Amino acid sequence: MNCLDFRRAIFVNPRDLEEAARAHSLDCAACRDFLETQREMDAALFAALQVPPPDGFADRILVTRGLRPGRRRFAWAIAATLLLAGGLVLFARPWLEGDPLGREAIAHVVQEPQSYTTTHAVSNEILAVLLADQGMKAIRTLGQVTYARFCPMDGRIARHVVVRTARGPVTLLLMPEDPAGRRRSVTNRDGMSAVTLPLARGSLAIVASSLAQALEFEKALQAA
Amino acid sequence: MFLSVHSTGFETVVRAYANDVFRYLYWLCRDRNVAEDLSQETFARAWAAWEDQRDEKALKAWLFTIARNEHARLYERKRLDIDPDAELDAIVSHTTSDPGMAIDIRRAFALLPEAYREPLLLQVLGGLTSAEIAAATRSSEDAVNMRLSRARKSLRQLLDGKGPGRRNKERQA
Repeated sequence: MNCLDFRRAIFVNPRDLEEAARAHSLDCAACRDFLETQREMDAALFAALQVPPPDGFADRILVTRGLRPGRRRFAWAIAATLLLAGGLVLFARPWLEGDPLGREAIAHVVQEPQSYTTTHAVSNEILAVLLADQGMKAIRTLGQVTYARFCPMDGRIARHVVVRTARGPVTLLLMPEDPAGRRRSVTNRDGMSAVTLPLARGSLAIVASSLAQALEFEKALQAA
Repeated sequence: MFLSVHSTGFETVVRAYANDVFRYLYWLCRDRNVAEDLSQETFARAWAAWEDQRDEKALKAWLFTIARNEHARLYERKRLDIDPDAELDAIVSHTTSDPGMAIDIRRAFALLPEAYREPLLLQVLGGLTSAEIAAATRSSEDAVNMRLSRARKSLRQLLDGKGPGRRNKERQA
């Protein structure tokens, strides 16, 4: 077998080598490297294709089709559990996921990672433009402001501010155009927490890496 | 007694292959809900024909053939709208330690023509031989081998400089 034939065979199946191909790989270092590369590629492809199946998928197939004679009670128990879990998820979902504004705020922070990497202080002039009409001058007393931008968020303009506190950066998203009547709410997702609050004009979302940090900032802001 | 042994064997097969069948169907249709429904149909048909199934060694190839036919049947009824980037970034792989590389590979894999993707899926994911893939796809073994070869070549070209082959290239340089 020559190198060309060997590589053709490897492209067809790098796992299942014929005797002639195995012998060639022992004699030819370049082809041995080629084989190793292709095997690595196949292993990486196999890993990349491993999408997670639905939870308890095999059980669901067996239960749905009633394919478990002699274990019907168990099947009914699984079915009842799935139904109950489904009901719980349906009813508890709004509570578990928090409110839409909190989810939007966290998604916005995740999509704007540069807001956390900037470390230089924002000038007072910029802060004045951004925050003065919101009665938020006190933010500067809670830590160094390192990010301040007007950002589009769900069709409205949010004032996006990052304050570096002793416990790490905290994001504030001020939305003066947000409709009144929101209730205070807590949202946890993507490893972050958001506290959303109604303001005299619009709403405020406080986003931090933990709920404790967000609540602590909320308290400090109210006291300031 | 027969029913019990009969169904226990089937249960073992469902437990062994349900996840692989789901993944195969997912990569054909790129929709988790459709893949789940098609998997259910696949095992329902397999159960209906279970009594006639005698060749234990060919069970996996048999299941993948049913799954492929179920997907083709759906495809005949309606053309699936596949968004090339749908869910690709969101799926977290269980086995890969490098999510960035997994995303590159998935994107490259999604760019392959279907005629190349399918035999590669059946071989890499299903572990089927060329002869089994030929039987499942109703083509010749030579045609399957040619598609597998072209699929791997295309994948390597698409991933050039990004994939795991980079290590060897760096070593050679």
